[in-house]
Amino acid sequence: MPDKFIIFIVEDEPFYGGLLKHHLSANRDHEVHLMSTGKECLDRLHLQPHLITLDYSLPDANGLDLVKRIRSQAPQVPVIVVSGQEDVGAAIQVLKAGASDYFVKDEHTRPLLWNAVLRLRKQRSLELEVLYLRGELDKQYDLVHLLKGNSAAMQQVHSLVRRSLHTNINVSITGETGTGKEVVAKAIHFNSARKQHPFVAINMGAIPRDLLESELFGHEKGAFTGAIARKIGKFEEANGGTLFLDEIGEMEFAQQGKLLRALQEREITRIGGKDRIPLDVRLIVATNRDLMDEVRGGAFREDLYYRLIGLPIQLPPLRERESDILLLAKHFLGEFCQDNHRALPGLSAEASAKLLHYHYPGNVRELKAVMQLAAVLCEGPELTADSIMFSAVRRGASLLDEEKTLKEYERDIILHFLRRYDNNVLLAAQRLGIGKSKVYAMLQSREIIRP
Amino acid sequence: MMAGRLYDASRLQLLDGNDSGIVSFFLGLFLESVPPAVAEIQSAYVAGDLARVRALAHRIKPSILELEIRSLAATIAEIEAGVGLPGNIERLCSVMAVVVRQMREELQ
Repeated sequence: MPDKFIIFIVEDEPFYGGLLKHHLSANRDHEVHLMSTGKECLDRLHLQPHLITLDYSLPDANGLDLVKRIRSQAPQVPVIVVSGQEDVGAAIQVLKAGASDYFVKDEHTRPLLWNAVLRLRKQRSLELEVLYLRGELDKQYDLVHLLKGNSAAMQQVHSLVRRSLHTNINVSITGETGTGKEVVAKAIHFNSARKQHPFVAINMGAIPRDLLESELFGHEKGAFTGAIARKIGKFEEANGGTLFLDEIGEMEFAQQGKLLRALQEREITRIGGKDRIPLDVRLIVATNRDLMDEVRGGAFREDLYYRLIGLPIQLPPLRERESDILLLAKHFLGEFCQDNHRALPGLSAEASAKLLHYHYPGNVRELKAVMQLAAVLCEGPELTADSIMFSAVRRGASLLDEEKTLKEYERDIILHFLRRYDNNVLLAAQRLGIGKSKVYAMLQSREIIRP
Repeated sequence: MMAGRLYDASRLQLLDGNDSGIVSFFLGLFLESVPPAVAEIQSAYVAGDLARVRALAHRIKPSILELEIRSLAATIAEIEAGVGLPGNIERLCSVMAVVVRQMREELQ
């Protein structure tokens, strides 16, 4: 049975109170308590009503005082004042004191009250949903759950993340692609005091140069051609919370100065605007580059580097945390099976050995994909080595996951198309927009070998 | 409204799909609470307690309006405002006596 929606009606006129009680009791989900004095209402607040309707003139209290006392003892409970008089001054006073509505007793009172109850029930159900989702989020971003791994390298990450939680220090996360930089950023945010506020992530490498300033700082309507409405930037969106700047190393030198200024002044101005907007944002940045190298090479401002570096956290590649591989594999397998209502298979010794002997260029992200595919392919009670297919996952992964030379990328792409079109050189060349002779030449020189 | 009746219970009838039991219940509740309050208004006036007179009028006004006792709508509002006393109190008592009689007849 769903929880009852508890309503207190505080009304000293028995006939009118009875009418309201009868009206609101028409919904079986409502549990309506009628009481005739303010004292009775205060004495029964332990029942945790979801709504209190209050006659403004009670024998032992006036509505304004009672609203104030209810607000001090049960601030979350909405109070609707129902008054026999249309008194604008009294209405303003009770609303200022925290009442959520003020109705005059007339022929519209009962339907108004009914609608107010409907509205509050909807609001309560949304609040309960938010509470539930926050709880889920807390579970989801629980550090132990999130940063799985017993290896010394992961224990070090744990320790640093925990140190970051109780301060506002900027955090810089480095690590190869797929090591979980954004996961760590979220873990920091959702375990810090800022968790009730937004976590806003932006990939600096994915934003065109001309749009970056507007994305970060926002703009006013008419600030430039195409600015048809005011836009709130990521900094402003994250105010009170955390801003995660992923791939910070991709930011162009010219743009870095604007970011530095915002960080130094702790305020921003939208493009085309005049108002200075104070910032209370925790910054977490991530990169798979060595930013100090970028500074030495002149591609990254040294002053910005020192602003951003804060607490550095280096995420180890999966190949360096061998002891975590099976732990993570079982975790991803269990998670996938649970989400997809599948029986959880065991992991055969051969499958485990295969998992342990791979080098994981795509790191944890790759392992997760491998285990998901394995769960789908598995037909018996145990995952066999055949279900573990690295090549299938790698083929589906981004070609840009690894740093290669242009020549190597060219070879990989042609191979990929040959595979896709069953070694049909003509079709592969057509699709790639290159001459078939180029493909034949590469095959002949054994630069590529037919898959 | 029935001819000659000073009140109209049709809004009560709407409460539960013309359930006569509900109408009787609320008419009974009205008889238990409003006429005694009217008598108290009279005695408070005699005792010179005008604040009590106004407070009681304020308390029963919504019930009088809910039963659409139109002949008392302005009277009870004036008593609440402390206007037209004691004439309005006398009118309230005499009209309420008729209302009570009519309600009792309906309930029998």
